[in-house]
Amino acid sequence: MELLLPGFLDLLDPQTLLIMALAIVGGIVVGTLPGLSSVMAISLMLPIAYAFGPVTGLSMLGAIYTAALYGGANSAIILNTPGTPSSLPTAFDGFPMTKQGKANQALYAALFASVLGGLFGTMVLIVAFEPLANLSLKFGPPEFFFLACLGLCAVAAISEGKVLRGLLSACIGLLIALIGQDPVSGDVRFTFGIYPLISGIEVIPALLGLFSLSQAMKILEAKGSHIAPYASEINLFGKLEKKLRQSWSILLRSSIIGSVIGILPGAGGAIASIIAYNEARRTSKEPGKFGKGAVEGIMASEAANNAQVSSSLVPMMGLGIPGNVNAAVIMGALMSFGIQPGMGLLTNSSDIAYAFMASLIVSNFLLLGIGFYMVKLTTRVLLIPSNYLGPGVIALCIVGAYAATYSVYGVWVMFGMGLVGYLMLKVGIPIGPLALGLVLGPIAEKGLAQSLQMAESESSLLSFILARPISMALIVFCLVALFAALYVEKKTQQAELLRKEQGNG
Amino acid sequence: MTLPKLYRLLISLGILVLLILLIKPFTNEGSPEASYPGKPIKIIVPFKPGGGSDRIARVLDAYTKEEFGSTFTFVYKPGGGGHLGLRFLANTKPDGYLLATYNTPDLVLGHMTGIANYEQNDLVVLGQIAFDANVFATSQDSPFFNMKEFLREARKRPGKLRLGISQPKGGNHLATLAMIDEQGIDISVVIFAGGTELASAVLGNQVDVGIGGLAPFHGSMKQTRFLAISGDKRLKIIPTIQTMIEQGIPMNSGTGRIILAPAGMATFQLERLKQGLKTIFDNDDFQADLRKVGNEPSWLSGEEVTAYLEDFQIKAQKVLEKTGL
Repeated sequence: MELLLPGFLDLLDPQTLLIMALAIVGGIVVGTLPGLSSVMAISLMLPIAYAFGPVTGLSMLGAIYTAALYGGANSAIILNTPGTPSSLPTAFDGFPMTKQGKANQALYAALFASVLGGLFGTMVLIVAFEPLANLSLKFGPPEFFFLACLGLCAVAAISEGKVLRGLLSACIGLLIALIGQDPVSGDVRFTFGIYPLISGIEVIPALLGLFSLSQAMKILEAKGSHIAPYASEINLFGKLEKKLRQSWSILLRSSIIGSVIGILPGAGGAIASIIAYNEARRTSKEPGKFGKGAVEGIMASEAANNAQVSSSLVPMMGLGIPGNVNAAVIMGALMSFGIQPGMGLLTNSSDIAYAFMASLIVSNFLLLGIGFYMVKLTTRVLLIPSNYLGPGVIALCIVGAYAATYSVYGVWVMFGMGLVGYLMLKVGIPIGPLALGLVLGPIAEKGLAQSLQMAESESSLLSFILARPISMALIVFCLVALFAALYVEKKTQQAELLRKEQGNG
Repeated sequence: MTLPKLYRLLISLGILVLLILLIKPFTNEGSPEASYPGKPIKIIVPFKPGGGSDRIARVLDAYTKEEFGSTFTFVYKPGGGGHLGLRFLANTKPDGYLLATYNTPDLVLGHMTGIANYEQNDLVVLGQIAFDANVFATSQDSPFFNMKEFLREARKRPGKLRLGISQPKGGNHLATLAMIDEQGIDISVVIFAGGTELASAVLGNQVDVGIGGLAPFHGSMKQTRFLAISGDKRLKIIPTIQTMIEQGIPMNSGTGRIILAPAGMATFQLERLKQGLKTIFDNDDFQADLRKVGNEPSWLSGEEVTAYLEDFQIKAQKVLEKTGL
């Protein structure tokens, strides 16, 4: 820990800071543009990172990762298009806020929550990455299955008050997630002889279609000249400060959820932000506001999503086991600099390791400063007339879907899912649960299949699960989440009824 | 169409034509044989970024500028265990500017298990640059110290021990099933989605032993106990660990890292690439860099790889029929 200070000093070089600032700008842009992902940006910048040397190079990659995950919130809020799966829940409240003319408030809330979450996650990484990496190993296939189930319990929260239709939508998502190769046997299923389907329905093109394309079609259909009214709010920061102060418990809880789930290799940011969102709604005094423009929902999703950034580096730094693709690419960079992540990192290369971790703190502060000014640019999108914005979004969807998969196949997936999303909007079936099923389905399926293989060596499935305390705890959480969802649903319905009666009377 | 709109259209068309004219001279080369490649070669990594294949390709990339005059452009095409990207290569116009990385023996296994959907002859192997023997690993909590002990216990308690495999229908899956079958024992097999997933399952004691590449364990050497090497010789970084053959269990499997080209490329291009790869491989710095990312340099020419794969295919066919994989 005492080595953190020299780590900061390593970063004081003006060139390093300038490169990090540029990386933050680039990361925000990449994250904002639908379809362009942090992974793409980081792997694209690898050769440049090598040229800069370890401290500057790694700081740059970390800055891109931090900024890109935040950038996903921008498109989620302005265009109802989650740029990354982990900003999915941000769109549920972000876009309604934009429509109410509160885009500014939503964007700043996302920025502040991202930075707070990011700093929390980074502190977790710095304080205890070695012991936490070992702890993450306690999570095996059964735990991942139940974690995905816990995420799926959020269906009710994002069904816009139509729980049955939400369940239908989630089931469609789970079914679509089955297309492709069986994760465990490797067998090919539900491809109907169309070979490219072997790689499954890719999540990013699917989300682009479901949210952006269907949204673009709606923009073009609507008579309005702009997607939403836009006006700068009076006393915006005063209001926001009050909100942040009121929501400190949501921010803290979401940061913890994001950090814990981020540490688990393979869980991913989407589960973190969804569970945080669901928790925020469950504990809220006015759960009915969620999905209709509750700034708390944005804060929960974004804090968890950015807390996950640094904590996802925990198993990579502690054990040399990258928890997600971003961490894998950064690990590749570390190794090319001759640094072996894992046990012994702090004895062999502590200077660079601490400089890298310190850079993540600096990145978050740079993100706060640069993001603050970029919000003004982002809101300009709302000034573009609908008849330009609609086609522009469709063009971005096509480019993004191609870029995400490097093939025209991705574009077809995007159009196919766009049609599905559009039809679902027309008949009033919420699309959020479908996206949830699509994102969590593969994690749940693999966890279940591997658990069943593991359980073969036990006398019964029950004894296998009973011997795993974390699984038992997760089952309890799932049950609590389910019953709470039913209770919250009933409460909001009653509140709705009451409001209507009062309105009539 | 109103007049100003027409103007605008004409102007944008004019700019487009200008741009094309500007770019054209740079894509025209003089004599193709002397200047090949002359522009960046695209390389398909048929997996997600950050994996073993990506790292090896990037190490190679650091030396391509010196040898070929330009670096690679990376194209990631994951899916179908890598065969989706290879199918793209097989169906591409063989102009000499698109290559791919891949692994043996998975190259032929995909055709045998029906996952690959292109002609095996549509691809040509340029050479193998590394060979990574599979290792059997457990955590330090394990009661086992070698595979002999593990198999003895497995025989005593049929079906009660778990063995993790790093990838479905890959080379080590097949080799392990063949070994289990030959030993006549009953073990619960758990399949994971890649080497890193297997490594965390092994270290977290989710399985009693796991088989996969060594690279994912590099960061946790102190927590990992290696039981055996499933290759024909011992490894430099874990010199005390015996091979399976030394322990009296016939098994030899591993992953060869190869570079592929589409069939039908001009002979001068193929020769240039093969010779260039060999030159890069013979560079000691390149071999040191490969070891840095956890891979063992090992050269085989394209013909040698093809011969190895033909031999493997005959043996594997028998195993596939027997195990019903």
